[in-house]
Amino acid sequence: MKLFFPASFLILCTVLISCTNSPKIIDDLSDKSFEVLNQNGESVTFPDDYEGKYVVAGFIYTNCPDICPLVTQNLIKVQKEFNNPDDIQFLGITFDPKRDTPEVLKNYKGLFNLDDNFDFLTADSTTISELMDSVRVRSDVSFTQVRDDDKEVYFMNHSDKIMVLDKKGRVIFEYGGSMTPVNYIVEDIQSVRR
Amino acid sequence: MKKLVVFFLSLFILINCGKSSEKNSSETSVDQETQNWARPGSQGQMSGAYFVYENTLDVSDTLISVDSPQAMMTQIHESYTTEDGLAGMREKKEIIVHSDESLILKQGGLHVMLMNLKEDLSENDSVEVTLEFTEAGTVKFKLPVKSNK
Ligand SMILES: [Cu+2]
Repeated sequence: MKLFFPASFLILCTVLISCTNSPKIIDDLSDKSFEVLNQNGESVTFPDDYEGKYVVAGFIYTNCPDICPLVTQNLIKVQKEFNNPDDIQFLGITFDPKRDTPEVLKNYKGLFNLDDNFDFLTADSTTISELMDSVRVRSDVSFTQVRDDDKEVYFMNHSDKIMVLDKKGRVIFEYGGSMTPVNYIVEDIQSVRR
Repeated sequence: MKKLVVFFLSLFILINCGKSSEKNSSETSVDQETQNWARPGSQGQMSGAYFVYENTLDVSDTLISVDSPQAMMTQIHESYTTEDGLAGMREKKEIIVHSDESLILKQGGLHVMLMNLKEDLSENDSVEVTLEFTEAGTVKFKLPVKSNK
């Protein structure tokens, strides 16, 4: 019985520690700078230009009409849940820069009815592959298809991912992009947002 | 007395901790998923379309082709996860639909892949899709274009 007090105190401490919200840093991008373009063709330095905001980013290519829109829709749902906040930036980043030019991304953005805190980013192929490597997003051409008009079109296998950066450009959460229930993401952000 | 306070405090925190990490999934309802619809898209780009087809015949049927006048090329695709965990899609050439069963095309599963759209698809437009079954023959769908699904 004498052990009861120290034991419960110990339990209390453990519980308190596991309850505090200091998420693990998954990837630190704060020392990286990628020169990219948004859907308006404006240059953006990622992640530097978003420092001071949380960033919720999904990885997509626009020639993907099934899985990738689910990723985009998840980002939109998170934005809605937070009521379009100013301190959270939403990004769709393409891993298919060859086809996803700013103009194509602008059209793509237009399909979803989005505001200013939602950008789509592309860059030259080298920058995109460096960016994707730094967040461990993989993509490969899976197959090409010769269309009825004799033009070739290719499709890609790719990581299905949404990630959250803190205000210092560090990746603190990541998820399966298309299948994760939105409230997981919302709760995680709520737990660290201040 | 002190012991008791600490004990109940621990208990309280434990309960609360459990609560905050509890995840309620908010999956879309079956009804929403199974609606017939097509995704908006720009000319020259891709779109996906979804429908439910019930095989009311008393024999098994096979979907052997799909076509749409609004795209240069149309196929049935399946989204799947590759062996090394990547998201991909592949063509499904033939799909068997047993008697009294439904063929369900929905996001993240099977979709009609509309490639190189001949014109923009916007909300309030519709997409015509013609399916060819070995038993039922030609089946046509008119799928409304909807955004923000
Ligand atoms: Cu497809």
